[in-house]
Amino acid sequence: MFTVEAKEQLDNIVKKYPTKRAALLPALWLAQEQYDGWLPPEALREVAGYLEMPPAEVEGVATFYTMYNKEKIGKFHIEVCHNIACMVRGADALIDQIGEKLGIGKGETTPDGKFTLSGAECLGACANAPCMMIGAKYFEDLTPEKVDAIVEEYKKK
Amino acid sequence: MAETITQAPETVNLTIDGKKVTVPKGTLLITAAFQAGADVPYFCHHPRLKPAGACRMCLVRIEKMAKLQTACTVPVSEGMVVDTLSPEVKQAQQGILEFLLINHPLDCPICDRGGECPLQNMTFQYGPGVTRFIDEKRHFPKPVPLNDYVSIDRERCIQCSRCTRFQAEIAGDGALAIESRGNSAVIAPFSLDGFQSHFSGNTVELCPVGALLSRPYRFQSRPWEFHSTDSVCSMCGVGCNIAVQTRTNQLMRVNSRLNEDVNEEWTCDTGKFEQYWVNSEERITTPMIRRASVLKPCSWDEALTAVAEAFSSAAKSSSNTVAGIGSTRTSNEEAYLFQRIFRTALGSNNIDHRMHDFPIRPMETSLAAIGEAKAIVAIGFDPKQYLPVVWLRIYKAISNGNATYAHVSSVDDPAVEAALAVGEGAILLTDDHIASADLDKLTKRAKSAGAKINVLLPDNNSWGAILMGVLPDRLPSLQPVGNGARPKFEALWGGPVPDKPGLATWDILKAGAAGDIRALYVLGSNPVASFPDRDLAASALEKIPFVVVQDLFLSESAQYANVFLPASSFIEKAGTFTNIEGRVQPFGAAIRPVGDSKPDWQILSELYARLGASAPFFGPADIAREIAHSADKNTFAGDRR
Ligand code: SF4
Ligand code: SF4
Ligand code: FES
Repeated sequence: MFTVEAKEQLDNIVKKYPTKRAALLPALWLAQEQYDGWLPPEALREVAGYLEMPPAEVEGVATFYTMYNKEKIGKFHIEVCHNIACMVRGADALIDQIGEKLGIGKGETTPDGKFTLSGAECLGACANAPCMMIGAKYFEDLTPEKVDAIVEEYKKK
Repeated sequence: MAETITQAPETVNLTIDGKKVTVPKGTLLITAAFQAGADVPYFCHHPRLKPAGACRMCLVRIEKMAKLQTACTVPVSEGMVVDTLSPEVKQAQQGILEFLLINHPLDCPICDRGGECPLQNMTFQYGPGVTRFIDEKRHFPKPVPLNDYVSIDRERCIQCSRCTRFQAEIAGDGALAIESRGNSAVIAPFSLDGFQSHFSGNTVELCPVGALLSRPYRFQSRPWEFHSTDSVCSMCGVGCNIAVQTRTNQLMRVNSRLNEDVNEEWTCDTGKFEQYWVNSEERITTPMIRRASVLKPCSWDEALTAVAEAFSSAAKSSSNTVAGIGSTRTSNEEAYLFQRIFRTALGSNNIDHRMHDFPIRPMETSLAAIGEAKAIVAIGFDPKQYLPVVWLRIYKAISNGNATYAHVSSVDDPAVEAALAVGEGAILLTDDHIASADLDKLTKRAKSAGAKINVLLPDNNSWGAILMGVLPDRLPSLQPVGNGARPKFEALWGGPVPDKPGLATWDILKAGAAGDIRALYVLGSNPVASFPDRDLAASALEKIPFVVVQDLFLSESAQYANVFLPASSFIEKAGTFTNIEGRVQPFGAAIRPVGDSKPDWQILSELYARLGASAPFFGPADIAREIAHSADKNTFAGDRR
């Protein structure tokens, strides 16, 4: 369920567009924040109701974009870029390293629900490859040591 | 120089494959091409859906344009020169088909669509003949049920979006969407709901491949094996035109049939999927007579003789002691014959079909006019549930003309006032449960506002029962029994017709319960289940010494029958139904009567002969001729636009 503040936020988003349905993408983004980082069908229904759209259409849009999570994800979503620039700078090895450390593979979530590990398409920080994101936070110029330290730090959170 | 006024041309001239055509401005190129006799192949194009350009099958060359264009998305323009036949176009068509077939399982031999499949046909006609694709095709579970009626085989889907567009643009519920993208794209309803729509079956007919499938029809027949008969839906008062498709004397499938004035090319799911009761094993197909308190099979002769004797001896003592309760589902011919038998052979006006009193009022607009209304209010009923295809007209008005629509429970709702303020172009819809006083009030308000009121009756032949005179106080064409029309019918029917109104259903049942009715004929109705006061109906049928029930199933009322006469379903006979608009529509016999059942008209005709009719009717056409001869053609005119 959207909080009162989130509803207000949504109202403000809708105001920026000529029609309600035009606000679908930011509305879904907001919903994802409200629903612990992913979009359960209930969230889609809520958005659909708010924007007066058929829920099937909202689900169609949500499934079109990879950055809307359709499955429950961990508290911290580690997304390591695996596109060309990061790949030649050792991204694959970093993904393996993180996976080993957390005991999960790409696309999986730790049993305690704390971490989800994904390979991401270009994060737009190629100049400082390899890079990754945890939630909304960027980490660049990664080395095995740096990654180790970052993961250790997040484990404590 | 005199001022010249150049008016924008209403038409556009263009050349297609060397042939000059003139079409209205705004016409899509594919439509113009068909008019020019060109055979442009297509999948996603549909004249009633908005252009999508989804399948790329309709590529053509337009002179002065850099690339081939999709004929289904380009409006014609003056002087356009189009080629649909060149090797370049041919190659494009082959290429598109090769792409479409990459992921298509080509399991035509076990596909319900095989034999009537646009993809199959286009591939034969325009396809490359061989494939170069040797990799693994994409796989999905097949078929996946989406609701009680429709399932999907996603491997066969070519993503033409006809189904999603139908649901969004015509049904107005947007119940289907394309999920995911690229190679993983699938057609899906919202995951929590399934395919929730009253109109889902239309997508089965629209789907150009065997992706959307009818669940009851699955693996039942091939299209070249069944016989298709023009018919009319028996499930509600809209009277959608349907094709009844039968094989081995059974119903296989109901498809829609084009009628621009009634259902265009749609049906609701009830019409398409809920008429398999005609195949039911539970149908009674032999006459039965009660012996030692049990209904036992007997011959038709025995049954009809028992009925004839019971009714004529009761009528001889007093014609007030016989009564008939007819139905809103039998054909016009049958309804007519029923009342004629009561009025002439039994001398009684004790016939009715109504389960409650309601205002008898023809629609003030046509069904099609609802699609052009400016404001619509449905009062006291939900059209989607009750007369589903009426909803499609309402949605058309909403989507094309920006009509306002509200569905309210009372005539005093502010939405009614708001619609009336629109004045001309406002249409109020209500059903047969509206109180007469409310309707009168509403009528006054509508008249002064210039709005129209349509009282919509529920069943496939509600109007037929009324207009054929299955009413205690009305002869056919709504002529009062007491007035000047009676001599005309007496002359036609060769005998006196009682001039006093008979008993209405409720009075028949009251009289029955009081022991004043000796013989009751229940034709295709079921008062014990559908009369509002069921206890009264049950105690009446219990009390009446002789009850004959004519039906397909052993209904609640049949529990009280002394004689049960097994009737045939509407697909086993020919006749006509009159829809909510008063439109008389013929339907044909698709199969032979099941078992020893007989069409209602035939049962009545044979009974009539036993009651002393001078000349029997040999078929529905015989009866229809007499109806046409006697009908007052102005009865239904009303102030219809
Ligand atoms: S299911 Fe049929 S109608 Fe719907 S997109 Fe696929 S091919 Fe087209
Ligand atoms: S709207 Fe009525 S007549 Fe039409 S298909 Fe449905 S049930 Fe049959
Ligand atoms: S028919 Fe033109 S793109 Fe599909």
